Amino acid sequence: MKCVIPKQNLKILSRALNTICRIGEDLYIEPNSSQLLMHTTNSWHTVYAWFKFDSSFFSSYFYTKEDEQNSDSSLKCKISLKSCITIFKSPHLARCLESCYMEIKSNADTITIQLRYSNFCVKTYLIPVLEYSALQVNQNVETSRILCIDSKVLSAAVKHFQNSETDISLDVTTEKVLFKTHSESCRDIRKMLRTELSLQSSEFDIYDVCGGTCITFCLKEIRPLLAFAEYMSLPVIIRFSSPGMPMVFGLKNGFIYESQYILSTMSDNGLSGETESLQLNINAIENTQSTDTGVQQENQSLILNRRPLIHSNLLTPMRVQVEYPDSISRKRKHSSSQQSQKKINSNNTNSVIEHFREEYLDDDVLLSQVADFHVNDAANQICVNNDGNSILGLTGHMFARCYTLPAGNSPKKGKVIVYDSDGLGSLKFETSSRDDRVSSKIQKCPSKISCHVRECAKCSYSRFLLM
Amino acid sequence: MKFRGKIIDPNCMKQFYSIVIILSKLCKSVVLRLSSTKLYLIALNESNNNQISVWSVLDQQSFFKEYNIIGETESNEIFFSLPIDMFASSLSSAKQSNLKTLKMKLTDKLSPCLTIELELESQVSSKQLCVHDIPVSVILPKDWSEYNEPSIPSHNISVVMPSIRIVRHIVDKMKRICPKLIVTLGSTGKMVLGVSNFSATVDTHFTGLEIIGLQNTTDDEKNYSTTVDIKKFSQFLNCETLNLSKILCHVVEDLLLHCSIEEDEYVLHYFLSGIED
Repeated sequence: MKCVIPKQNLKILSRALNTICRIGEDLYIEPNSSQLLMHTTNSWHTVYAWFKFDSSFFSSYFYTKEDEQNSDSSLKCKISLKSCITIFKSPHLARCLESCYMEIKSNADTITIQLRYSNFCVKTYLIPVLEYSALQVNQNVETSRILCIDSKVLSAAVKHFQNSETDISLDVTTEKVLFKTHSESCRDIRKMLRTELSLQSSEFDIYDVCGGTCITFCLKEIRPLLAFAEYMSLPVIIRFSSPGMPMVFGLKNGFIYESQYILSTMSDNGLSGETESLQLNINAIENTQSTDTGVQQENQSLILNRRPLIHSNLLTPMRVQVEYPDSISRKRKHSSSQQSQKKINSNNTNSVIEHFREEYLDDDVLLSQVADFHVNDAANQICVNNDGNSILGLTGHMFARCYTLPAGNSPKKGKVIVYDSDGLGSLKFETSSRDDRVSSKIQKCPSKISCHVRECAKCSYSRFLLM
Repeated sequence: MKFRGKIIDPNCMKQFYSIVIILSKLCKSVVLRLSSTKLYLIALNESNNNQISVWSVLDQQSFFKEYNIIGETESNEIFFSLPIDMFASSLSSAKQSNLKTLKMKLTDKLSPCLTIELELESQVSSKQLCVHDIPVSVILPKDWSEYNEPSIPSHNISVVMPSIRIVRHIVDKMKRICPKLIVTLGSTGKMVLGVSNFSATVDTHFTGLEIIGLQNTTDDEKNYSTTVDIKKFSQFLNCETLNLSKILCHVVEDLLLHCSIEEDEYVLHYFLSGIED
């Protein structure tokens, strides 16, 4: 799937992502032939939020035949929301930003996001995919009562509540709606500020409550959505049925984009006072690791199961690459024609190495072609091959990829050079040919390297060579 | 015991809110003393034998449109304490321009409460009503004596404070040097703020201040100084809403630094007792 988001819609996307990032840590992306779905849930599975962008939101939206042929889930992926947010943070969305290009390939290990600037600068982000899995949620929420209200009125109303307020009750009658401080929280109700706000039914655009009810939900989770709705000046639609059953906050801008927050409400037995903790309905959301099983799992065990997986995957950091056009003068040693060779691309790695050698390492001989492999494990390893060559496999903490080279027969044994992809910075340190020395030297390195890499991480990622 | 008050003028609401905000910066809980003509907001300094640190008096008539009080004693007064942060946050809606009326009353819901009713005008003709219940604890008449008007020792000197923004800026910088601030007022209309530590002594001189009162009017120049906790002084200066007011500064040598705002509608006194060098 490939798509391009135009400049004016980038702000909406950025706002949406910033709204959704207050909920969960992972972002699930599900493209299909006509729309792009982004959704997340929090760790307790009490809130489920999604944003759906229609193909008209994008200036172009390609869903290739290949994508269609593949099974449904092959494009459904999970990425870290944090890494996504850093791309779409407002300072990055500078004035000269033209468009954003996004590509999701079936079963590739990264998602490509490219920010294109009006000065022909292109910034490429490769976001590692944590998992190819879908978040499956039972969205058949029974909603017998519907309220629709201007987001300005609603957000002004909730501003009367203290910021520390987590849960509020929504008491609806046929004439009016009462928002009030939830009275059964663990705190002593007699010592806290109680707030009650009434809105007449005439404030609402749609007021269908069929009798009255009183439900309690988490205000904290909903505040970001209200801020988004206020910014876009869209009305908010609240749908709910009875206490304990999930409720839905929705907003919709024509067919272009749509969002919904499904959140659990406090059930009646929570009010009985048997347990002090909040009894929240989690049935609305069921998350399955694989799409086939569809088995509803116990929430707690689900979280535990997922944890190790996430950790191992998070070690692969996001990669960023910036391409500058020729027009931007930079203090480079290289001519512009050579710059094109420096694009980070695993296919032309060899040419980059070649070029690098020509530029800097005239005396050095590369012993072997650079191998490219992915590091998944956290441990720092120095392995010694049978033929006496040592292989450097540095930790995946800092580096997306490491390059390994046998170093046995080199006339200039054990020289380690680290350089970043555009060749602007490099770091060399000598190691002895004896394996034990190699390992000791290298184990000292990571701190150095990490400093170095962090500096250049803004524009590129680094590679390793062992010569 | 009954109390009801209603403010409808937006300026009065803002002024009332700004007074509450000043107090909320200076203390955690405040005692509200209501009498038939005046409304007192009193804060005690718990760390210093419950001496009064803030004493403010609001003239009922200039704030309230309606004001009814029925006390249980002959003096027709009510005393209760309440957490000032809750009071401030429930009044924060007074900033909104669509506020029509602000009502305050004492109620008994679950516990004794000061109920604040805000009537808001909405775009649609119907009204919105926001009710805040602040839990209060009523103070019995036998304990009232603690909240009597503090007897202010006669000041050695009183001057008008220089621009509070400048003083705030300087005091905030001085805070890093030393926790104690020496405030000196001179009979020539001079104010000196000084801090010192082992390596440095910093003094800032403000001159040409208007002198309001002077104890002995001999011709010699005389300085009166007192040492106070710089953090507490800076807390006072950091109240944003003070910016526009004329602040008086009084010193009783070695004993007290007393800042006051005296307007027609209200009076606010802040007492900072001197600490030893």
